[in-house]
Amino acid sequence: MSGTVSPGSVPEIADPGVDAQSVQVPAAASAAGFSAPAAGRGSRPNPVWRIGARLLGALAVLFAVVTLTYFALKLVPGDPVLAILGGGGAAPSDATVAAVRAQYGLDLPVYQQYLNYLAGVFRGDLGTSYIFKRPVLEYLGPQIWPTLQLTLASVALAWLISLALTLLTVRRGRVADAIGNAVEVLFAAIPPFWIGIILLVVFSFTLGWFPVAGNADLRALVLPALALAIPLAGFLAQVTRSSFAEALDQPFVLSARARGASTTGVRIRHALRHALLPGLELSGWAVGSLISGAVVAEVIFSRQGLGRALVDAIVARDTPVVLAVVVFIALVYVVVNILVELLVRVVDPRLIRKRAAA
Amino acid sequence: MTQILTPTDIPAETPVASPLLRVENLNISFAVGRGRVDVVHDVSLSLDRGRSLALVGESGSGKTVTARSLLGLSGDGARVLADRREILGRDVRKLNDKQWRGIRGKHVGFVLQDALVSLDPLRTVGGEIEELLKLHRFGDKAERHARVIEALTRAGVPEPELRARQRSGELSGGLRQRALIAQATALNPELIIADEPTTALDATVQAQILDLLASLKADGAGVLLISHDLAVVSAVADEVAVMKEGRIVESGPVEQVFGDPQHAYTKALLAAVPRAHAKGTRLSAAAPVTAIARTERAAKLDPSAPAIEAVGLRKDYTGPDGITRTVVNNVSFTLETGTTLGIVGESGSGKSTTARIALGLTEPTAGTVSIGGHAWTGLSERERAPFRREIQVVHQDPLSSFDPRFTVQKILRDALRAAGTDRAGHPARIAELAEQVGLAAAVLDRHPLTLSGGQRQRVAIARALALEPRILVLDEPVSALDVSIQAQVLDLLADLQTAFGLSYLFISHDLGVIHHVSDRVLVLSDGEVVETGSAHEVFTNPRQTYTQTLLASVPSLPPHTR
Amino acid sequence: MSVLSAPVTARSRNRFLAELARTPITVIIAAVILAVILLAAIWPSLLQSHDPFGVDPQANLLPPSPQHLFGTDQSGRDIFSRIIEGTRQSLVVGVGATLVGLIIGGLLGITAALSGPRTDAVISRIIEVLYAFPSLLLALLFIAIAGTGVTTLVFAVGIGTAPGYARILRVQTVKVAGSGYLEASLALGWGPRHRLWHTIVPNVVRPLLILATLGVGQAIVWASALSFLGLGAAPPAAEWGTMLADGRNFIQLAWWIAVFPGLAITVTALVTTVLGRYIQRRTDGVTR
Repeated sequence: MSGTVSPGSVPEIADPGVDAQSVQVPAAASAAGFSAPAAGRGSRPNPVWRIGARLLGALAVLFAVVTLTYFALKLVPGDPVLAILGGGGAAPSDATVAAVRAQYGLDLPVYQQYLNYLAGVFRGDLGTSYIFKRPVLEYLGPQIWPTLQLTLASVALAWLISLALTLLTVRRGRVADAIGNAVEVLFAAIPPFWIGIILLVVFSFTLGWFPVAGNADLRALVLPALALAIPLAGFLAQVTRSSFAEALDQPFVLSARARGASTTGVRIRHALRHALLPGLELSGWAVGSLISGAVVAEVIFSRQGLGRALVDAIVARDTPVVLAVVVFIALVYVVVNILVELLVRVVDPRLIRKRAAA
Repeated sequence: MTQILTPTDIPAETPVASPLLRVENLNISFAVGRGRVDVVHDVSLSLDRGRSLALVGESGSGKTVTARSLLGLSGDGARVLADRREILGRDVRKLNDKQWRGIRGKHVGFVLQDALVSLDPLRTVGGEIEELLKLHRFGDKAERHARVIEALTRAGVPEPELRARQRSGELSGGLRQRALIAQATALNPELIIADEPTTALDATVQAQILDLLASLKADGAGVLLISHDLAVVSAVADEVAVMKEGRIVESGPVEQVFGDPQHAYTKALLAAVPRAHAKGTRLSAAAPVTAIARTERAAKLDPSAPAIEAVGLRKDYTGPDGITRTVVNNVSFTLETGTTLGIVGESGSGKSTTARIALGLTEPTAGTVSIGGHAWTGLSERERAPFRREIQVVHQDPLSSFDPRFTVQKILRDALRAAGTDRAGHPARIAELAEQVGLAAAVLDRHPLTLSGGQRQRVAIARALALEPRILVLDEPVSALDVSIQAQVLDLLADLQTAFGLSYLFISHDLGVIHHVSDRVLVLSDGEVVETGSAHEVFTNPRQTYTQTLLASVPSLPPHTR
Repeated sequence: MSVLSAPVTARSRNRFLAELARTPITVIIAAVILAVILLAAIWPSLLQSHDPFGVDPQANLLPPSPQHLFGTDQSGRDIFSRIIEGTRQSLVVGVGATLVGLIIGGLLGITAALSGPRTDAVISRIIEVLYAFPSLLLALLFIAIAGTGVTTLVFAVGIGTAPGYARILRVQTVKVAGSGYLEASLALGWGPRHRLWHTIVPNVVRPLLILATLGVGQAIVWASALSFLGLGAAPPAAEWGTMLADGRNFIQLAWWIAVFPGLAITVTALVTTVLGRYIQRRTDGVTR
């Protein structure tokens, strides 16, 4: 605790990824003199250029996801035509098979099919469902909003729970800390489908507070959102609680207290902001993971949604639908990540050097 | 509450004669597990306006805890008891949190070490200062802004409007520290507590910060200075209290305590500071290492050639932004066998890069190095490997150079294996090495993480010695150590040099240390050699203005101290 | 403050007891539960009160009682015995999937970190793209291609978690490759092979134990989620996720059919998390 470097302390290590030599360089500028201008932090690329590069990168990821998934799904065993014609049970004539094959463009070489698909994607045409014989977009369209709604509600709830857990339990005495710890570990371990069932039993069957199933109204959203939010809150809280505690140990907190700030003031104005960052960075991943994880909540609470459509399509080998859902999830992931990045910059206006190193 | 402009704005009931700060028999203990640990015993202090009191001690002496108790910020689980604890004549022993908050920042300003972490890195410097003003309900937005600028200007921050909008990470070390002081003094507190305000700063910057503290004192504030550095203390303080293990062992006017120390600990501390006239003398009371003659092995290096000969070294780095910077330019030096060459410079002067080149860890962009008459640059790693054992290194932070899986024993064994020595002899050799560097046998089974800084440094030295090198590169080997530990390590290094005829390339930013250990000195600045010569020459009669400024900026103990 | 640091206990005969006394009670409880889980996996009949597949129409949908600790299902099978029966498979799937994930992730991440900047960039891009697939989605895709079944389940979950491991292991390897101790071993004169096998590899592998412990619990949860969706083990099997899905149809009549298998999953995940985090804390200082 004393000002000198105590035996237990380890000098701060520079950002990983930045090698020792390049760290020395900016220091040379500041060493020149006391009144030297702010130490140069390397290049600051033009923001327009940077955003452009970011969008290009996002497009590249999307393109890679589409390509990877497209060819992976080509590995699905069995003739898709049979799936189109009603599975193994049906015994279509050769003529029918050939006709359907031509109709779906399955007679073309694979690369041609792929190019056609890509061209379709640009036109907003994601193909035709093998099972429903309708354009994929038309079939999936109504499923998108309920899933997005569920996902967003879950993320919001998860943040609420983990922030409450952070502010109420970190450094609030041993008991509160132990409770916070226990809750965070427990939440992270709970499978969403199990907590979903328990919520259903308790709040719908026993107490009758919430509807058992459906997407009718906001009330029907509460339990499924909670089922998904609880495990996510466990993960988020692990990150926010530890970084909050870390922030509270920083000298700037002592500085703030020494200028007369109250404990609560320091927690909210200083430490919380630091604690938000790692959780925010996790949120991009969390949304992507929720949108597919939504399937379990959709099954338990008999909700419409992309997740169920995906699982049904996998079981029925409806590859165009599977592909479309995957592409949509990747799109959401990419968009959310860009948003998260912007949000992180708002919370942490320091330069982007950490980003560059990551 | 908006008129807080003069230091004389103190509670009306305060008798004018009462000192700014008066503490009698302060005791602080912390809850640890089920019991309590006492960290401060019977400390009494007193400080008047316009005066400065220094609390001096090494890590663990309780000086920081003492200072924080004066802000009511001793920490969780602390129990603070005192017969008297008065600030501005007001008894602060029974204050609640709200009352304390009224004092903090307004009557007592607190300056911490390194502002990079002492100011919220996510907030602007101006925002941090403004928070202080807001907390104490100072003025409206415009008045607050004006005060922020005024505070920065007074703390000697150029371009205050610009700096107020920047974050601490964007400022240089010196500016950061000034901003921190501006933050602590914006409301003209009567008492300023500065906890290690200059540690980690370069000498020239340190001198400027000390001037600033002195000027605050001249303006009528009382300055309580916490430091481990005796020279810093003597530059600012009027009175000094020396702390050891939670007690004040000696106190009084600076001249008296430093000039005629009474307590053994004070004497040892003063003796431990490396200074010019202490050269060649021992700094610590530790017994000299009983030199154990080492087994002679076939010399790979020519003992008559210089240990290191570097000619025209240059090193360019291309940063991530594509801009190439030259961090070392045209550096030449010769390290004669059995002597010490000190390289001194401030941060960014290129001294560490020079060390890495000498160690063969970085290939220079231009120039050559030879060790013991052997070419050392331009080699493949395969060609270099057989000579590696001849030149070993000790870093400032040895911890990161130890494999985290290893105990001390394994670290040493790994080095012995690298040297290819006979395995049967390892246990005996490890015991011998531990003895040579003064490590207790019990330490061998421990992980370096559980050792103190001084012990870690001894392990690093032992590992280097395991290879029986002829040359040691010592890169800031004592910079992270307390002064008494530093003294022991420097003495150890001197003993080993005598015993084994080692050649040292000694790198440090600390002029006192360099003066103490070096035969010849190389002064680096911005990657270039500014001056070179014998230690005596460079320190007593510097030819270059840069060296002169550097030497002038180092606070030194009063010459009459023993 | 060095004053406050606890003295290091010397070697003693009672080292184990001393260690035990310092271990938090939650960790001890978790270890005991894990021992029971392992016992159930290795020797299920020791704990079972009934035949897990014994159908008894007379005793169907019985609530928990001393007779049937966790009640019975719609066919009158003892749920407690079925959960014990399912332990082995859940563990095998969890451990297997974690191994698959670690091996694939490790190959990608470590290769990326140790190869030149260009290869690193390429592999890192691949990892980045894979990371855009959420774990469950990747697992679902794999099942779409390989069909359902227990073996596919192991690989599906393993592949689903691989991108995450790849990222962590790449960062860890980069850290070790840039570490002071690796440079120190160069300065000591060790050759490249020694540095790879004696310094880089062991230090990269060290945190794997923690990752694996934490990962097994999550892998069990993922796997049971897939079984719950009907994409894992087929219904008659006593697999936790399958049992839970099965019980969902009777949830209004008999909550216990779904709740207890879920409890088993949660407890297993909880125990591995508690132990994993404890090991992490213990080695934290050492695994920089």
